Amino acid sequence: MEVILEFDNVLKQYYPQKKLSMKIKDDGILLDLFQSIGRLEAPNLPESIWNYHEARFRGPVLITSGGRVLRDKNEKLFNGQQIQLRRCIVGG
Amino acid sequence: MNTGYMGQILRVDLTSGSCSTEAIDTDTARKFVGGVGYAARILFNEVTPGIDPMGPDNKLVFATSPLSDNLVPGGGSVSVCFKSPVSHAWGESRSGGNFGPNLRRAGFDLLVIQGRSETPVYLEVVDKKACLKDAAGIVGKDVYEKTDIIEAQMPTGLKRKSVMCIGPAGENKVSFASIMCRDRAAGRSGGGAVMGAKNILAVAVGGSAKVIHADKKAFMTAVKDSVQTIKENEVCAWFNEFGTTADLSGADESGDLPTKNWRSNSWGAGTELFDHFQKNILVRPKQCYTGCPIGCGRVCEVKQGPYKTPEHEGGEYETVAAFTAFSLNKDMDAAVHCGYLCNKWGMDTISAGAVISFAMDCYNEGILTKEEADGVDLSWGHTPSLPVLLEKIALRQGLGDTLALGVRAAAKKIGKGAEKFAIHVKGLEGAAHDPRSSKALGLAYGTANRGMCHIHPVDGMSYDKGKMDYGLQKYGVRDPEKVDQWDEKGKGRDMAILQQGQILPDILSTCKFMGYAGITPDHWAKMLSATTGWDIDGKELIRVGERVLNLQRLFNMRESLGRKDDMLPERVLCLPESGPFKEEEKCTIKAYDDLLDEYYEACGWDIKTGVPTDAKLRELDLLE
Repeated sequence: MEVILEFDNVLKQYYPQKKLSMKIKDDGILLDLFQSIGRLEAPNLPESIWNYHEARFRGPVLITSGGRVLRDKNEKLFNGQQIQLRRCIVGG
Repeated sequence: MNTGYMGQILRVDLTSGSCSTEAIDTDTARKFVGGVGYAARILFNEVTPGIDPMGPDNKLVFATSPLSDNLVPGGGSVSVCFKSPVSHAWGESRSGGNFGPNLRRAGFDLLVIQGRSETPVYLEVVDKKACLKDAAGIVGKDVYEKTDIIEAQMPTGLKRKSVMCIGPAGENKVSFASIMCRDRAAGRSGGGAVMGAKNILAVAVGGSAKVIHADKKAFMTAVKDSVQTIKENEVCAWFNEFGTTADLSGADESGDLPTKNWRSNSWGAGTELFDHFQKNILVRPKQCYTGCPIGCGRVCEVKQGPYKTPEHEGGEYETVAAFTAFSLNKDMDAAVHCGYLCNKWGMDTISAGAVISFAMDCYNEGILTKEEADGVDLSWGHTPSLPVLLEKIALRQGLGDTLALGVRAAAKKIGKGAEKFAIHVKGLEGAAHDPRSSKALGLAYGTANRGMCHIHPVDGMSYDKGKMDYGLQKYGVRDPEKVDQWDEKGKGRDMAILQQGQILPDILSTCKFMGYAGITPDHWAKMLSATTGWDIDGKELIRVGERVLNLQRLFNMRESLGRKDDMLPERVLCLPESGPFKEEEKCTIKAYDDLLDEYYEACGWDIKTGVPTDAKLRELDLLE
C-alpha cells in the first residue's frame, strides 16, 4: 500500500516538492514506514536528520496524521494515509 | 472599573511598613490595559530618572491584566517591571505559574512596592488583606525552602495561592537574580536583585475574589474559540511533544545556536544533546499553570552520576543552551543540573550561562589568570567548573563577586580589553538565538527596550525563519514565506509592526507562546472586549502596543539611552569563527545602521537619535 508523506517547516528543504509517496507492505505499521524511509530515502537525508543505524529520525520530528500525533511505532497505517512530518523553528 | 478588572491596586511602602489601595484608573486602563503597559505608566510617572535601581526610590510593579485568568490561554502569567540593575533602564520580566490569576483572586490587579525595609520581610496578600511579615526565619534559605515555608504559613483552607520569592542570589544582590514562582521565573533584568535590595524576600498571594465579566457568554465563546485555534495548531502539538528543548536541534542546524560565547552560531552537538535529554532526563510534560492548552513544560530528573538532580521543572531550551553551547559543555546532565541550581538559588539561567562563557573567553584569551579565577579551570568545555562558578556567583565569592555584576559591568571591572567579550545590548546578556541567521532577530535584539532579549517584545527568528506572522500580515507585516531570512532590507519596517503586535501578550500578562500557536491580536481583542465591556479590536490593541513601546522607550531616553544603545556587539555582526556557516557571507549583518534607520522611520522616531518625535507622541496621546 502507499502512504503520502508531507514535509513541512525545516524538513521541506530536503524535499522541495513537499510530498513523497512511499510504498509499504499491506497492513503496515509506523515502524515499516520508518524502515522504508531508511531504505529508500536515507541518501537524501543528512545525518543530522536521520539515524541510519536505528532507522529513525534523529532529534525532534513531529509526525501527525488527521490532526493527531503518531507516537506508537506499532500504529497501523492505511492505504492513502497522509502523514505530515515537520521540524519547527520557534523561540523558547 | 467593575468589569474585567478587580479594580484595585495595592501599594506597599516598605520604608514605613504601610499598605494602601487605590482604584484602577479608567483612562489609564483603556490606554495601557495592564501588564507591562499599565506598569510602564506607573514607572514613567513615579520613578525619578537617574535613581539607583538598588535604592529605595526604585519601584517594583507586579502586574496582571483582565486576561490574567486560568481560563484564558496563557493567562497564568504575571509581569514584573522595575528599573533594571542590569541595564539601568527599563526592566521587565514575565513568569509562568499561577501567580497572576492568584493576585487577582487576592483582590488586586497590580501590586506596587516601594521603599526599603530595615529588616527582612515578606508580603502576604489574602482576600484583599495585605500584611508585611517578618522574614528573619527564611533568610539564606533557597527558593524551594522559602516557598514551602511560606505556603505552609498561609491560611489553612486557602485553595488558590502562589508564592514568588528570591533565593540567596537575590539576597546577595546578584544583578541578574530572578524572582521565582517555584520552578518558574521572572528571570531576566534582575528583578530579584531589586527585591533583595529592598529587603523583601517574597510575595504570597491567594484568595477567592471573582471577576465580573461584562458579557460572560461572549467571554467564554471567545476563550473557547481561542483554545480551539491553539489545539488545531501544529506548534501546539510541537511544544507539547518536545517542549522548548527541541530547539537545540533546529537552532544548531540552522545557525541559530550561539556557541563559545558567540564565536560561532552552530555547534553540531545540539541534536545529540536533545536525544540524550529525551531518553535519559525527561520525566513527563507539565503545564506551568492550571489550564494551559499547550503544556510545553518538562519535568526532568538526572537519576545518577555527578550531576544527580531531583525532579523539577526545567530543561528549557534557553537554559540548556546557555549551559552547553555557550561554554562548549557537552554534558547534558550537567546543564540540567545547572538550571536546577539557578532555580534553587534564584538566578536568571541565560545571564548566568552567558557570564560563565564570558569568563571562559577571558581566561582563554589570557585576560583572567587561573589565580584570578580562584583556581577554577575555565578552559572551554570544562564541565565541572560550571556548578562551581554558579555557587560562587550566587554567594558572591571570589571571581563570582565580579561575575555577579553581569557581563557589561564585570568586563569594565576586569578591564584589559574584556569589554569585547561581553556580549550584551543595554547591559542585558544575549539569549540563545543568533541573529546572523535571522536579520529580524538582530533588529529585535538591538531595539528591545529591556536589552538583548529574543522574545520581549518579539521573537524575530520565528518570523524570519519559522515563517510565523502572528496574525500581523493584515496589519502590514510582509508574508514571512516571501521573506528571506538572510536579507536585511525591509526588516526594519516589519520589525516595527511585529513589536507592536507581539508586545500584546506582555501587556496582557499572558504567555508569548500562544502567539506561536495561532493566537492573534484579534483573538486577544475579542476576549478583552467581552470581559471589560470595551469595544476594542485588534487594530486598537496594536495601537496600545505602539503606545507602550514608545513610553518604555521614553523611560530609557530619560536614562540617557539613545541610538548608541541600540547597536549590536561587533561579534554578532561578523562571520562565525567555526562551524558550517564560517564562510557563508550571508551569515553577517552588513548594514545594521541602515536597518536601524528603516526601523526608526517606521516607528516615527528621529533617525539620528532614535528619539520618538513630538508628532508620534501626539498621535499616541503621550505628549504631556
